[in-house]
Amino acid sequence: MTYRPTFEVDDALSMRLAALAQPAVPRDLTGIVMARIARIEDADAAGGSVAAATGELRERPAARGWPAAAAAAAVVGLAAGLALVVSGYGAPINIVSPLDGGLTEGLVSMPATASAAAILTVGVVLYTAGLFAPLRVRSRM
Amino acid sequence: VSVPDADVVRDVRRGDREAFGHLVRKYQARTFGLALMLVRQPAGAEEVTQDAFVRAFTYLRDFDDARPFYPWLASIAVRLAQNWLLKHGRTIRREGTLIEHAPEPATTTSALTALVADEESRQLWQSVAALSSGERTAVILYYRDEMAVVDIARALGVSSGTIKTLLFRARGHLRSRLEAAGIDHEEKPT
Repeated sequence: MTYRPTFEVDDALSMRLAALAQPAVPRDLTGIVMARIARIEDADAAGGSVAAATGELRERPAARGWPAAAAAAAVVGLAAGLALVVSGYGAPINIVSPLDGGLTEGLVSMPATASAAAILTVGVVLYTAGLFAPLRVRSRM
Repeated sequence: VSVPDADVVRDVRRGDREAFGHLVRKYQARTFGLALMLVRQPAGAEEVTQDAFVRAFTYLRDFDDARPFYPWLASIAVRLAQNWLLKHGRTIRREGTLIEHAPEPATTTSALTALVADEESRQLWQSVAALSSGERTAVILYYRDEMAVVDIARALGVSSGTIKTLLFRARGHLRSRLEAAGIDHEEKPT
């Protein structure tokens, strides 16, 4: 024989408690709750737009900076190459593979002029800076 | 036609905000009754009930729809009611002791029972409302809301044994009070 706990006894008290009347619910509780939920959702949506806009603003400098940096690097590279060619004007450029001994003859010597050296230095510095320039976009969180 | 709660929850999760209104309509009376028993003040109970539904909506993604909806909602309402009592300086939150020895609010139960229509129900409400906060919460959730002891324990953050003890004590106190009020509560043979 098994016994149920006293609080499970199926007596008049249990039945009364099970049938305990519900108190009158405040008027339009559902409407108020749904209105609050709508406001919260709207606020969240607005917040999301602001966040998206902020994200765009945050992304713009990086997006705008990258092509500019690439263009600058290209210009500097061209300038450096031009300086190299100009400074070594007259010397034949041998592009034959080293295995054929091509590079041992007719190598372009380093430019001796100050201006060419300066241009080359600037080009190398800009190139190096470009390699390590921060390009990552900040987190939105 | 009654739509299963799990289906409604699925609709809400898919973005049908209005579907949540179905759950509010279905459980507002039970939740308000629970909150009223806990805070024993109609305005506070309304605040708690509103907040419980709003919070349930906000955190619906955390709800395990393999389980019934009301115990989860009730656990939110209980926590909010405890916070409300704490905010209004009416209880001290201490795990394991809160629901058993929480100081009682000074509010009379007249406002509460005014919301219940018939005289006998009012007497019963008054008797339940006069129990300690832990006992009345356990009584409401177990007898009226038909929640399992383990679900009540989870909602209140105590052990199942504590809930059984609270229910046992509550029955004793209710019997005494109903006897004093002249309401029949005799045990029937099972």
